[in-house]
Amino acid sequence: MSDPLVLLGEVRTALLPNSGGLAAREASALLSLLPGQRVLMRERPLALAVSPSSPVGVDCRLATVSRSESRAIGTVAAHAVLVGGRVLQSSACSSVVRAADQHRRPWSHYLTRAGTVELVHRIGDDTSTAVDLTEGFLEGSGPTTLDLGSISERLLTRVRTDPRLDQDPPVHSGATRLRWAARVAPPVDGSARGRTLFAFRLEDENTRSVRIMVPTVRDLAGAQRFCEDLAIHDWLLSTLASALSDADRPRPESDSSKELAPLLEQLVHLWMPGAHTPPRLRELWTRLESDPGFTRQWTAQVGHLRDRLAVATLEALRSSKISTVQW
Amino acid sequence: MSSATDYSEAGERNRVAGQPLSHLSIEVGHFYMDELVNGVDRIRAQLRKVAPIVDTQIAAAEAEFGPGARVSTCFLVDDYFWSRTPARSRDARRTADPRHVLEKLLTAAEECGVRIDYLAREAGCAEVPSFRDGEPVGEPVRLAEMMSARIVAEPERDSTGRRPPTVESGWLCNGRRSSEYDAGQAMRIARYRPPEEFGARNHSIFLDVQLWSRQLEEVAGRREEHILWSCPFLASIWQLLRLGMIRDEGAMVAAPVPWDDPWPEEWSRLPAVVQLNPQAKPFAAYRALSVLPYSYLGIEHAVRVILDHLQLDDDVQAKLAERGAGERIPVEVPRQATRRLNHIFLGDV
Repeated sequence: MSDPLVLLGEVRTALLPNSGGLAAREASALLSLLPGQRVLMRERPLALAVSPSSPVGVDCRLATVSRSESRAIGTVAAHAVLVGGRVLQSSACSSVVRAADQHRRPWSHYLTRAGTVELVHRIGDDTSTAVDLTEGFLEGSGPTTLDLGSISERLLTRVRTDPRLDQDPPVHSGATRLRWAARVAPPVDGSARGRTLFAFRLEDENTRSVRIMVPTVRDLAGAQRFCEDLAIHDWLLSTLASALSDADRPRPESDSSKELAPLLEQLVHLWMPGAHTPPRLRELWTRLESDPGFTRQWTAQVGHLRDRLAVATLEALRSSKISTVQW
Repeated sequence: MSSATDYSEAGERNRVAGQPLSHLSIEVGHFYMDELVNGVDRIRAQLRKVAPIVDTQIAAAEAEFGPGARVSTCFLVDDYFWSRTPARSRDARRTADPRHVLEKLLTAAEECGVRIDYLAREAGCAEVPSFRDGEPVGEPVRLAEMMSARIVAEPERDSTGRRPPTVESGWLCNGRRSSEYDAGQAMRIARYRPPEEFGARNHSIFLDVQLWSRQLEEVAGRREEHILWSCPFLASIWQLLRLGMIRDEGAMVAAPVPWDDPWPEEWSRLPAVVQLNPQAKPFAAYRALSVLPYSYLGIEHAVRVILDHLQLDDDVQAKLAERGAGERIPVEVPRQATRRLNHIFLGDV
């Protein structure tokens, strides 16, 4: 099989709709989407459960900027992830390779390469095709092109609506989507680049896009895991930021400390940038730490959160003292 | 001096058990229970035809894989539909007793010169009991249910993933159904669009296979709904067992159990696969051959369609390919299970 031209993916991240976090055994039961197939579990440094991946068949155009013919046939692989027993992700990914022939093959052919779509049309040389598909996917996807969003959304809904969950999360928060494309950087003067190139962009309140160029094909394997790791930290930042800004809005009759305290209890310990990123891509975190400064923002937010709660506690104490005196 | 830490966790990896393999597994027959219960003549007539085929196949395997070629034979008994489909007469049930049937069958096989190494039960393809000391214990592995979760529907043209593939519950086809099944078609008058086989050459051979049906059963005075798995679906699982492609959380499923005791009164008290010949070569094989009456052609066509839509375990496949490559005369194992299946259909003449 030829090397992938590009990997396309989407990760959705949301809080698990349950009052408590799940222990390893419960997490494994929730994510056993394919009976007989093991849920992969990790304990350190933070609990992680990854469901077996299930393929979804597609036969459609891939979005391109050049508007070239771009029929692709194959499957998208989607799996669910639970981090710290608390935050749920659904992650869909497909690797685009060139088809060996122009006709649709028997379905079993595509099932032996789950998570791969074969591009039937020749758009250009490998590099220009990869660029075309990356930009097309991130900027120009439409109703008739490959739709990883719906696939990951369906999987997220499937897990979120599991009857074992009580639908009573301690924190109200939204879901984010991170769309990503990864490819191998074209060699410079015949030799591979030493460094991974990377661009992260906030598109709107809930959408992020990521472009990754790795030095060799071998490094592509870790791109999805890195994007999942990035998505959860981005989600944590967004969730804390939106809770803090909600709390700032003056609302009578509401005790903002009640809404902020669960964030400290439930989410703050999940902050571990790079914890589940494959070693070869960990250097990307170093760069995210210097610009935009993920942990800097996180530390500031958590500090802000603790200060607000401290002030609220002091006020509560003072008013209770006053009331005792009057009594 | 540099130091390195190597940290890993067992739960991270999907370990898959290896399975001993023959070069060739020959299915020497498959009879409906009625045929086994009624006269033995038909069975004899067929086994007589099968005997020389088995000999030739063994010779061919030795020519291909050397004198050490491993060949095993097996036989599938249909105890599933017999016990699950409604009311048979008490008399018929009594005569389908394994003690009667197996004696009849094994005597006929011996007389015709067909060696049967392994005997399997079709019900064991639906649920595999665990055996300890000759007794079924604990919860069975719900194998049919497990495999049905692995069916990946084939997309039509222009399926972007936006809508889930249309799956008619309990059915699987090798193409696109006719316009009669389009949503809202009843309300419109439109030109009829015939069904179409995906990837057809010029013309279609469209096949729509029923995987299961729902059945109401009276259990302790209450009506309960049960799933009745179809013969082609169970047969596709049977073929995968023969090809060594099934694992449950990495462990082997339905490993053959040697049996010395007298036959029990009920089929359900037998393991899914029984080893009859203590010297038999391994049950599963790189290549499977089924020698069947022509009436099974339809079922085997359906089996191939089902197998073409099952997502099989990559790790199991990798392990198998590795084992094949390590043989004295290397065996190349194709990734598509159907490419490892062979059939010989027997006519009446």
